[in-house]
Amino acid sequence: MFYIITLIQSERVSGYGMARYRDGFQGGKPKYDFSLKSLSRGLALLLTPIIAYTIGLAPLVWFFVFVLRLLNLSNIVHVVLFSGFLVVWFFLFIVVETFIPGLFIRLFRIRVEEGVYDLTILDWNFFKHTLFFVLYRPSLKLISVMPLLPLRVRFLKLVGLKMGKSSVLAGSELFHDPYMLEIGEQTLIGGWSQITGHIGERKLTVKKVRIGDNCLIGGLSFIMPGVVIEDDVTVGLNCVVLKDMHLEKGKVYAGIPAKEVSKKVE
Amino acid sequence: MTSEAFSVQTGGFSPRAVGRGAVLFFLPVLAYFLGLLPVIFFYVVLTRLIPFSGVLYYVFLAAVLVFCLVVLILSETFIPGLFIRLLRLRVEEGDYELSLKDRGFYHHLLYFVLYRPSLNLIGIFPLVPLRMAFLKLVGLKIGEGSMVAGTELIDEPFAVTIGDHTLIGGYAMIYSHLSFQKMTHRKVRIGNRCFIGNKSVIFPGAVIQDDVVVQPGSVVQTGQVLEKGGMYQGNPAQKIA
Repeated sequence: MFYIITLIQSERVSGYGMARYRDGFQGGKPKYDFSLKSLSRGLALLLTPIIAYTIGLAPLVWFFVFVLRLLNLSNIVHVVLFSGFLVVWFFLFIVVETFIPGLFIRLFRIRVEEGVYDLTILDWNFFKHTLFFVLYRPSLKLISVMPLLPLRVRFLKLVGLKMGKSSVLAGSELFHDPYMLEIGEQTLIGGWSQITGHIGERKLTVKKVRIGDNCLIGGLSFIMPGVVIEDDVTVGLNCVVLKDMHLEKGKVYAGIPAKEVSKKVE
Repeated sequence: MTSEAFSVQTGGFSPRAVGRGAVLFFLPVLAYFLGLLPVIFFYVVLTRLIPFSGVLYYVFLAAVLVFCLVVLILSETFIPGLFIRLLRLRVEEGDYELSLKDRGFYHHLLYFVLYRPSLNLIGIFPLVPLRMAFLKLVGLKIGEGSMVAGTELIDEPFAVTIGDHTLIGGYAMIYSHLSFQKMTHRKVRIGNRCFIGNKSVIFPGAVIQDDVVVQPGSVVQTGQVLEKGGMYQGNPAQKIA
């Protein structure tokens, strides 16, 4: 009886009607319901990437069919030409299918401001966060198939990364939310490091990460939201920088969690 | 430290930098183009040979496509590997500028653009013997009876020497270059009968002597020498037995 009352109360408080609730860890919290809002947002999450990839693929398919009609594959010269064409086509495929979802993100301003949001699709900011994810991550994987580092940096800047001109990325690092990240000049980000601007614990917390000038972020390290890294800081390999940590100027940090090890060697 | 100490110059628009940039783009394109030729050739020849019609045609076509995928993986891996072998691409030990003007850095990039996509391609399926053949082709020195797990990452095989009967675990990473302010290249030596645990990281200049066990997840630091018969663990790796 008590259980039913609490259920009704929680439904009344949330006001989501026929809501579906989470089990276990976040028990009792609504995920989605069958309202128009929820359904349309779910559909948008499915259809927006499909539209983006279709727009990207259409000219490529046209180009492929156009070239295929010109060729006669019984001729050995044409077989050679076709191989060359396929390599160029694959390169174009990577570039177009990466940058058109990127342009979607840029044009529709899909980004989340700093704050704390509910973990439900009914929250407008959580929806935008998910939409950014579905458009951004496949493109990032696609551009990482080949070592096309300058194009990768161009793509990250398109979706909102602020980075100094002379900074270098390793090419295998993972920025979960590029629009929440600011990197200064002459900074190096090592391979397989992860920098995230959001964290989902009970609620979705989105916070900026700032990295100063002349820093070195070691490979395999993990940086959490709200971190401020001042100038001339070195973060060691496999280091975990916890939420809202402040790494002070000119020092070396290492370990899990990050601890000061020494002053930077001149 | 002054901020001028680490400045990345791509080389501006001097003829040499532009030429090298063009080579960095067109050499992989050429390699993949040559690698694709046998695939297209097999596809065209085999689809012509299909004697059946109707449902059997499509069954046979599926088999042809699978065969073409295997040929694609092999040729697109080994032809860039042959390019590396024939051009003798390798970087000697030393410090290099982070700029296309520097020949060592340019060779490093050229090696990278030819080697890494091929390594990803051969890593799609568990083709460990072929993977080892590819690694040997691009310069890895590996002894008799040694094995790699198939998911490990050897960053520059030409700078790594592995002895006999050694096992490199999955997701282990062996680096022979570090870049900050300058790019430093150092060789890595791994002795006989060693075990490198999975997810461990080995940094440039590390020397691992015979009969050493590196426990999973440990980090062997730059220039660290692991003594004979020891067991090492942790970040940084410390002797525990």
